[in-house]
Amino acid sequence: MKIQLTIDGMHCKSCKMLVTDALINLGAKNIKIDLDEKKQVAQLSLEYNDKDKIDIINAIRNEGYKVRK
Amino acid sequence: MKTTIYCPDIECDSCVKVLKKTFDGMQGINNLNIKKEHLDVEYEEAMIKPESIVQMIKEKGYRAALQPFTRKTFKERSRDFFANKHKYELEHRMIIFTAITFVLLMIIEYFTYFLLFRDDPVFLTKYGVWFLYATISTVFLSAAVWHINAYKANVTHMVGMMIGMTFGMQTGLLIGSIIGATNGMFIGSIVGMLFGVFVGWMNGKCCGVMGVMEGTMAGIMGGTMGAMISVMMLSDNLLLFMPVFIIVNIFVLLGLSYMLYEEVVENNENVKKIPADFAAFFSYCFVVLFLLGLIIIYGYKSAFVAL
Repeated sequence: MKIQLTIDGMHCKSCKMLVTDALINLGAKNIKIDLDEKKQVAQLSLEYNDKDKIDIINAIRNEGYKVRK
Repeated sequence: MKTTIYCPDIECDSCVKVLKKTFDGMQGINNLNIKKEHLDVEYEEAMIKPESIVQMIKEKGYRAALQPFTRKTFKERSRDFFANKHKYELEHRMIIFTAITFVLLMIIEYFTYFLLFRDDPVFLTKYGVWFLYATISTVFLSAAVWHINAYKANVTHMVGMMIGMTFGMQTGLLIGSIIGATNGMFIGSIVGMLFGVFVGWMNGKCCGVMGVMEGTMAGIMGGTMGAMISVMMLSDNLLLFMPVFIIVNIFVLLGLSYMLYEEVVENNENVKKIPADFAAFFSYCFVVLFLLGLIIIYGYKSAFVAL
């Protein structure tokens, strides 16, 4: 399943690395993060096997970022 | 063993987290203290080398080294500039001097206008904006010249030529374009050239004959070209062009000051500082502006402009 999310509070490359690492640990594939450093917002798209995307959202929240609904 | 690793890219909590994750539970690292722009590491010499720690940080996409980074990026420099007032004491003081001088000169011009030229109905439309530009140019040029001369140090030929050329060119262009617009091509070129050559020469002297030559040539070029721009554009939209032109030229002067600081002053122990004196700075600006004012108002004017 393809999932697209908008994440708030992302301001640099490090944030991108943290989120990517967390998502790889969950087993997500084709992770793509488009970062707007000025607005501190990132567009995330990825493929995930499980039907429930709450795991993904929780993983991002655990890293300290907000997921827009 | 303890060591410090310099890592100027650590900007936020996320960077700290990434680095902590990288070294978390790694064998041979006893203690890791991540601060802004550097990290203190305690490590077992038998198990890990500091070079490999640096390499691991680099692999994460950060700059890292065992020696401090000598060259700061523009962003770091500007942050440092506002945070570290004592180190940039000369520059901070000079910015204040420049602002005060500009305001004082404008006030003096204002009163001179009311005392002497109030009865001339076309005086303001004819000269007003050019006096504003002349004041801006004089003050900024003087500030840049002062900044170059505030530090005594040995410079390379490259830097010296850059200084001479930029000053000759900018002085010529600014003064030449202003006088060119008010007095025409003839006086504009002569005045622009004289000022450009003089300032380029004096400042290019810091690296000997190369700087002097470069300053002189640039002065000739800038002076004639500045006047040419104004005269040729007089029947076009010169008044729309001038603000952009002045701003761009001022940015070049700011860039020169920035370059000088990065190339010559930073990390150079043999630099002698010469603090600015407000009275001297103001009187230089005043004399130059007074001269320019006399030329603008009473100088010979080409028939083309005098209309």
